[in-house]
Amino acid sequence: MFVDACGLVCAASETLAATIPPDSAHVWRHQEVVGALMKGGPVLPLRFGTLTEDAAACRRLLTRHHDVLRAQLDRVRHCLEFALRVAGLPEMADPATGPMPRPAELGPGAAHLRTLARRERGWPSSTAEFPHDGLTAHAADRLLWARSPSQPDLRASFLVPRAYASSFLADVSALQHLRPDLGITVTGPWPPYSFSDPDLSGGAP
Amino acid sequence: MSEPEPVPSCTTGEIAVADLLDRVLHKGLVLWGEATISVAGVDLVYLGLKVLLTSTDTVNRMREAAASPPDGRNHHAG
Repeated sequence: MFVDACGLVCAASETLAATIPPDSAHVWRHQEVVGALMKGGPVLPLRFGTLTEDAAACRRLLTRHHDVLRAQLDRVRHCLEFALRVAGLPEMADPATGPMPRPAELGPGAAHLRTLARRERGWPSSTAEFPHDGLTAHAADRLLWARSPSQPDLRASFLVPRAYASSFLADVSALQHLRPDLGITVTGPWPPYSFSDPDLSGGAP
Repeated sequence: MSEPEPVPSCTTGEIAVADLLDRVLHKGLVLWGEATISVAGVDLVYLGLKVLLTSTDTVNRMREAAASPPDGRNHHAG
């Protein structure tokens, strides 16, 4: 069903469930719906599992935030998201501590932690330091995801105008061939999840 | 309406699944307000709507497309 208000529409389905478990089937179904909507025009995907009480409540949300939402839709119009991962960069010696012991000289746990520490030092810490700015030539926006020991890959999201998507992927392919040591992978196109997250919790603008 | 140029797709495989989960579960619009009752499993009531947001124009184009001969795609809202 579709809920209309102020020139915006929520595509919705009724459910009796209290929560939507983020299992593979539900997530892919969510992705299929967003992807189908994107064939017709710009879409702001909501966070998976978003529920409203009923259609009237959904309509109130659209009415309350329509200015911000329309601006967000304009921002992602004609754009796709691509996900980039960099699985490895050359290890850097730490000048403060001198050469590190070779992994063979450490226990397995210590070697793993040392590898993570090397990555942490060797990789950029902000979007301003993304190592290959050439990839932004065809992108409207980008962001770098926070890294953690459990997510050691460098992860980035690129918002790319549909018209430049092939050029962007060609740039990625060229970089993959130029720097195979970086272990670069790209997936997508995805709906603009990473560029659809304004925090509207502060109430009506 | 002319068809947009096809974009090469890479949305299968383990890394694609990980990238999709990253985005679906951690990104996307968060519409907190008096009308939002649950996000990502924080449940409050037992009746609701799962919602996605788009524009009226987009839906009108979808309705027109739905009236055209089927192309085999599934357009059901989830």
